[in-house]
Amino acid sequence: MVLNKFRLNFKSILVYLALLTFSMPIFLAFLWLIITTFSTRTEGLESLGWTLSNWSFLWKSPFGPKFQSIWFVTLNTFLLATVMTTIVVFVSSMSAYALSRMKFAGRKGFLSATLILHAFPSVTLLIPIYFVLRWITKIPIIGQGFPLIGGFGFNTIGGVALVMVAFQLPFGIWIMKGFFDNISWDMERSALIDGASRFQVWWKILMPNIKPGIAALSIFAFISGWNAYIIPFTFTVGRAGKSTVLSVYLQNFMSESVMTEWNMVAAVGLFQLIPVLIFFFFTQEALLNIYGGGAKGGA
Amino acid sequence: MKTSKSLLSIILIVILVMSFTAMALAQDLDIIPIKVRCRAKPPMENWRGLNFLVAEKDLNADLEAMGDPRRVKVEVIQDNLDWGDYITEFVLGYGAGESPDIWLTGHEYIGTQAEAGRIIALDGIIEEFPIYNLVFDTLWDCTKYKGKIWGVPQDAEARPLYWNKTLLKKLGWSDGEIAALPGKIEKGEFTLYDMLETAKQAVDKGVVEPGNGFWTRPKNGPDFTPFYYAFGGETIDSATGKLVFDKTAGLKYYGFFYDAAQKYGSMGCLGLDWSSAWHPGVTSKVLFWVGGTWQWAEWAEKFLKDLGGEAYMWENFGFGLIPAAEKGGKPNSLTHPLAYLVSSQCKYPDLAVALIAKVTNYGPNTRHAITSTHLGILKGQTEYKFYKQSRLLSEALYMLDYTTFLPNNPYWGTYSTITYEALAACVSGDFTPEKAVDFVVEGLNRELGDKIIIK
Repeated sequence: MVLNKFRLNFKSILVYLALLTFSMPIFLAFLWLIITTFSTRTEGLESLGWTLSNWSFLWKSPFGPKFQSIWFVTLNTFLLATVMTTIVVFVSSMSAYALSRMKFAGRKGFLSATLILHAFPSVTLLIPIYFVLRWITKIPIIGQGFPLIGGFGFNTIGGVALVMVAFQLPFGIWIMKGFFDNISWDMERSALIDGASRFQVWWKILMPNIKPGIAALSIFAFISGWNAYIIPFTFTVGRAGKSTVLSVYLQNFMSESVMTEWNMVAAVGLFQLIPVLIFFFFTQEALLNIYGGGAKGGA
Repeated sequence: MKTSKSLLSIILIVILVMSFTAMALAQDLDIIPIKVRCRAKPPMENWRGLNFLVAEKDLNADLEAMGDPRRVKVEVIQDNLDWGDYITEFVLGYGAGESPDIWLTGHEYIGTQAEAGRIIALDGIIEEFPIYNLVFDTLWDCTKYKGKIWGVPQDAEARPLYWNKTLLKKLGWSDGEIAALPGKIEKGEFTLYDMLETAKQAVDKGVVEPGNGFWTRPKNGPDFTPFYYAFGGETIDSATGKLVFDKTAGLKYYGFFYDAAQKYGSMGCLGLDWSSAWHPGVTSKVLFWVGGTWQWAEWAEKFLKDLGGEAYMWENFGFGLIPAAEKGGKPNSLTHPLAYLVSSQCKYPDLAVALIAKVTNYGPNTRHAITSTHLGILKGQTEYKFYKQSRLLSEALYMLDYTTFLPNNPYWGTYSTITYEALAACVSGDFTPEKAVDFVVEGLNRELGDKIIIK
């Protein structure tokens, strides 16, 4: 018995040691990142002088007085991630419900097609997407006339969000379909017998049952929108323009021909990371549910 | 009660009258948004765009005085995007109807954009602003394409040969010899191969590491063309406007770079990263290098600030023209002016050109010239009080007498890429000079067909 206990403990220690060893580079990298942002220079993990100047971008633009403030850029990024998350969750859950619960012609083909779409790297679709955005730009109001997000055309936050949504939807639909598949059909049938419409069933019965799925997809979509680079970079004007986002703005610190101030790059990078870390901290349980499915006891 | 009702009525009437008056006034004024897009390295080159914000007030005051109901509202978008992305952004933006009204770019892109109809010719508009007469004629030539003017020169520069005085002293050069070097280059007494010989001596004596005798920029760009010109090369046929490649000059040009890398311990610079390797290299461990006058400000502001900035540089660096290829020959340099172009989507080109006229003046241009160490573009600017205060601008100005330019041709990008690929292969030792010339001739014929003249 004692031997067994020892063996268990020894096994646990080994597991923890292994986990610690493999996690150490990540911990060290984060530690280095934090130390760097408060240092003039570093040698390994040692700071050669503490300073707050790397964080000065929070209260004044490092590139000149007429550059967009970091707060404006952060608002843009937040709008992009939020608009994208809202549309992805809404459209994914509706289409996943239909794909999970209804039989219609082309259902399997549609599912396969979304999977194929997911396999396309975004960079290969830049040119066709540009032509779509260009077309949307010319539609009155929708193209360029929305407050805050600018619209859904070229050089607007809404336009970039729309493109990001298109890339995120296959993933979202498949994930949400998995959650709907796990919900008992009996629950839905009872509601239908009681006179509920399909829409009511989806909204009032099924959606509350897949909250973990909604949370998980929201997190993935938000992080994807928050960190997006190639799409906003290609479809907005200027790394300091009206529609710029944090990942693109960060490039202002790294130029081909001017010395890169890596400590400030690290500080902006860490600043960009903070909302994601907070988001992740409060929702990590829901995030793990993505691998576990929705309500228990489903058919 | 009655009194308070009357008071309320009076207040409401006043508010209504004020609102209508404000609306009437607002309707009288036509606010025209003008979007200005510039590429600028902050903080040195920020005046490229910021000058327009000063010009906005100035132009609006003019419009008001004239009784013109229009007022401009300038929006400046300015960053340090890489050139390729910067051009792509303009093309994509134009396609979506979102191009800036005023777009700053290198003059060599004029041909391509003019052919595509994305920019307008400025003849007929610029004549109304006499200030443009002050711009050097040679700079106007850079913005001409098919006989028309397509842009207003924004700045100019020289591309000097720099040297490290400290390393020359280690090699045994006296202060007098170092001080006399710019003059010897100007007279054609110190040639390109003299420079390579000196570089080799520095390598042999361990003053610099092998590869660090002489450097050019690390990637393709305009800096290589003056060397081709030095060996007698030409790039454009003035009669037909077609690009030209001269095989005899090309052989000497590639021979020079082949020799530099394979025999004279130089050219260990190609492929280096600008900020982490090239700039730190030339500011510490390279004997001779070709750069731009604008880099003087970058080194002082970014790379050598801790060592004393410009004072340290005057102490340790010297500069002169790019030497002639042969004794008694003419040295040269290259100017690559940037120019303000007006988009064909701009609804009020007259206002755009008027704004550009405001920034094309001694004050605004000198602000930019001094902070970014670019040369002035206006006649008489050297006499301008504030311009004279910059030692570098004054000492480098004579180089404009020896300057050369890139051709304005829509196919320059292809030409430049092919000729650079051959140069890189010579430096790496993969091509002999003869093979490099064959490669260029074959490549240019294949890519450009009848748009290239091979001599």
